[in-house]
Amino acid sequence: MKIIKKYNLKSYYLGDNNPKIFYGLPKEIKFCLNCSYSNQKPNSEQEYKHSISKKKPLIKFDEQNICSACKISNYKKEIDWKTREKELIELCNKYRKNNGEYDCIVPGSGGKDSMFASYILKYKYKMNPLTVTWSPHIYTEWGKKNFYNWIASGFDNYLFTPNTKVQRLLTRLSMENIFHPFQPFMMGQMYFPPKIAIKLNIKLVFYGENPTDYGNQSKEDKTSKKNLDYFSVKNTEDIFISGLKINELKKYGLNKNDLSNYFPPKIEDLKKKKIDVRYLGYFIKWEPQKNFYFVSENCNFLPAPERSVGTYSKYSSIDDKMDDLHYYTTYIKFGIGRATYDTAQEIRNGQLTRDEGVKLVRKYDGEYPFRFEKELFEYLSIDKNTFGKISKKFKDPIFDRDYLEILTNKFRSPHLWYFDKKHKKFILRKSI
Amino acid sequence: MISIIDYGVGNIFNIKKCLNNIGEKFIVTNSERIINDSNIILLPGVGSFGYASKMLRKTNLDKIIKKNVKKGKFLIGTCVGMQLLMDQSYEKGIHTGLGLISGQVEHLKNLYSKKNEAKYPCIGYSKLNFVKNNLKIKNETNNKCFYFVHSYYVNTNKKFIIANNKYYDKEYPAIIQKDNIIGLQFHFEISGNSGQKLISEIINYSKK
Amino acid sequence: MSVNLRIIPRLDIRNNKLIKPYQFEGVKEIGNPITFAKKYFKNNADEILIMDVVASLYNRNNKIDIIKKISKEVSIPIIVGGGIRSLEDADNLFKNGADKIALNTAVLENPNLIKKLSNKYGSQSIVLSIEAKRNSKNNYWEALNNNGRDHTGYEIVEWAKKNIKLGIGEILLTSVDNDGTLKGLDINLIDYFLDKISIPTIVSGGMKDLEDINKIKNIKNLNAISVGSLLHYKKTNIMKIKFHAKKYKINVRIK
Repeated sequence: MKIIKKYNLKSYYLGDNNPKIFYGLPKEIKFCLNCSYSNQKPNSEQEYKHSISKKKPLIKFDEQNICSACKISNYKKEIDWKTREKELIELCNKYRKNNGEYDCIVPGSGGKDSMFASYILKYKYKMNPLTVTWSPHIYTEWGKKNFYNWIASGFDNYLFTPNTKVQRLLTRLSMENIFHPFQPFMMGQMYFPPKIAIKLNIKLVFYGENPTDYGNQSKEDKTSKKNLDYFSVKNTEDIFISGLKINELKKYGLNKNDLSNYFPPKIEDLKKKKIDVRYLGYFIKWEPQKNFYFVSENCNFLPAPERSVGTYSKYSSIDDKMDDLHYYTTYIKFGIGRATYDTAQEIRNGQLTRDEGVKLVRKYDGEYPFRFEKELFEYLSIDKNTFGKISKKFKDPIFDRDYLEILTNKFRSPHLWYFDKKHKKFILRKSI
Repeated sequence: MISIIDYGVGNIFNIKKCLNNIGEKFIVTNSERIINDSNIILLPGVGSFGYASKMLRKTNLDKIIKKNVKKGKFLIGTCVGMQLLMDQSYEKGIHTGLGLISGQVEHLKNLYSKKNEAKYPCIGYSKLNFVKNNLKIKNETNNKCFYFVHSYYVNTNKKFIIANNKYYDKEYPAIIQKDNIIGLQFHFEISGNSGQKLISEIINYSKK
Repeated sequence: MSVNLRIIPRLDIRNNKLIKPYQFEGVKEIGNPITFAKKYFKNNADEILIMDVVASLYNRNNKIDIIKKISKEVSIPIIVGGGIRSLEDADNLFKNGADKIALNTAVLENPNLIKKLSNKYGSQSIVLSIEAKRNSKNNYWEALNNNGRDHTGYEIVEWAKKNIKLGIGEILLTSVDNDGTLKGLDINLIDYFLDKISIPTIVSGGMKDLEDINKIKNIKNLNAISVGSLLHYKKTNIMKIKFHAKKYKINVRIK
């Protein structure tokens, strides 16, 4: 195994009681007693600050080993949703234009959540939403159909497709530096709606669920407003994309023209235009599977014709082929794959018992992204034909399975993984 | 007292439920003594004839049943139980039956021409065509539908046939009788209320 | 056709609750399966189809209790499917009220299972459950398994014929695309499949309203229809379906 010899397998001995810990993760691995999350789960952060050296903000577990996402879920059971709805109605009344102009923005790609949000805002709360989409890396066949079905069910849509060469290069660099294929996309996708809001003078932006549902720090659950810090910056010099600073990205031929779409808006601009970003999930009890049924019946949303890689689910986040690789990387870095995410959410919402969730995690988590492998590798390859001399900046410009393996083994935290000499493979030290 | 023969073959669960519903006392047994003591014997059966007849011989129940029938006890065979009354069956080889009514068990397709569209097994509800009514079944019962699910049928002498089932354009025996031996090709126990009524009337006939 | 068209309510269950998936996804709860089964039996259902939609996913079999309880309430045939992968699983079900069993996922990994089961119980008790998904690119229907989650790689007629040879007696053909959607029975699928297959087939998936009966009245050898959403969401009832069928000169069993 010439590939594995390149790495210091000493770090991955089963018997090591003090293995190295990457990413600032907690040493002891614990699992939530209610859902399937482990305490290694990272929370979302200000993406433009995301670099390999930065310690990740983490989900919190209490003394009873219940995670913060489950606590929020319990707390939500006590909420008076009628009151919350009243607040939504007041908010809509405040912003509704009734003159043919758009009065709110709903970001999305044609998934069940954005379909649901735009549908009720338009048909129940009589708003005039403009839906906005930052194009997925590579649309799945069914994702594309759902996107068109979304528009067909009665919405205007503003689709922005970034320069594929730039997105490919950034995605590849992100894999190299932080083993995170989605990071640049997340920046583009997150900053696009508020920037469009500023440009088109549409003050109100509606996101769907609140990230505290997934464990983010709970300051945010008591308000419907999304903290503007998430997508604004004072100084562009502070920005990291793909784990690199702007002047480092110059080395790869990426200049301000290429990168400005990935920059967050300036906070003064947001404040000047009075951009108001809200979570619909504050006003309406957000239940993803319920939303799935709703949009299937009302907007012609179609679940995928097969389960997604790494999970059992067919309705959650099914539009981007890059997802398959993304969840593989989270499994490598944190021991948390797609099935963990899907089961955790469904356990909290009552569609799975914890026992069922555990079985599903054991069955599907960390599944190798076979199905779109070829296309994804082509996307990540910085070939000479397309990229010219930039291709030479990469020791291994062509991305293939062997190269993925080399890269994968760089990012496994030794405190999560050990190397089984007999079967010649890496195994999680502690699984659910 | 009705003895339901327990020989490892047959959906006894539903038969028990049915007899309970009509208030008939029964016992599920393979004991010679109990069978000798009862006046009605019910022989259920699902699955393959070969396996069923092998099990009857293995448990000696074939001899016990024949002995009791000779004594005049009533024997009601249902589905494969009815087929077992015959001399032999051609299902997956040649297998010997109880030989209590002369005839053989053959595949339904033997009845039809090659061009015929009939599908096998025959599955579903069908009305019976009564040829005679020796069993004194009430009119309102005998014009109901009963559940058939089988690929083999009983080929026997007309004189034993009480009622036929018409499947596509051919008929085959659904109820047969020779003195104290009765055969039902369909499943009375899963033919709804009609099935319950029918078995109740046949049992009453057997009691007299 | 001399056997009557059977109308079979379909009960998808998970953890003893009646649920209704949409295109084989989701576990929306509808109510107590025993109550529904009893109601359908009283309303002239011909059989009851009970599918445990998560058994193969969790590799478990916890439905014996519910089958027993439903079986006590009805005296019509019960078909049970979901996660059946051994002779023992089948034994257990037949002992506790099942009249027929339906298999799918286990059959791909273990084709011999069909042979073993049909040798012991007779092929008339063994139903192959085909989850048919249209592949529009290649213009055919593929058989899925694991409750619409995985591919078998087989085209549906090919899959059916292979298993008929091994000893199945009946087929349950469900349209994955239409199931749970109330957009109508997939007539193209039914037409395509029925005239190539020599054993009785129950068609299922998407029945929308009584007019679907009109659409299928000319399909030869349509043996049975299984209905889910249309009944569970109380948009019509079995007697109405049967009377409608009678109107179109289709033979049905009416109590």
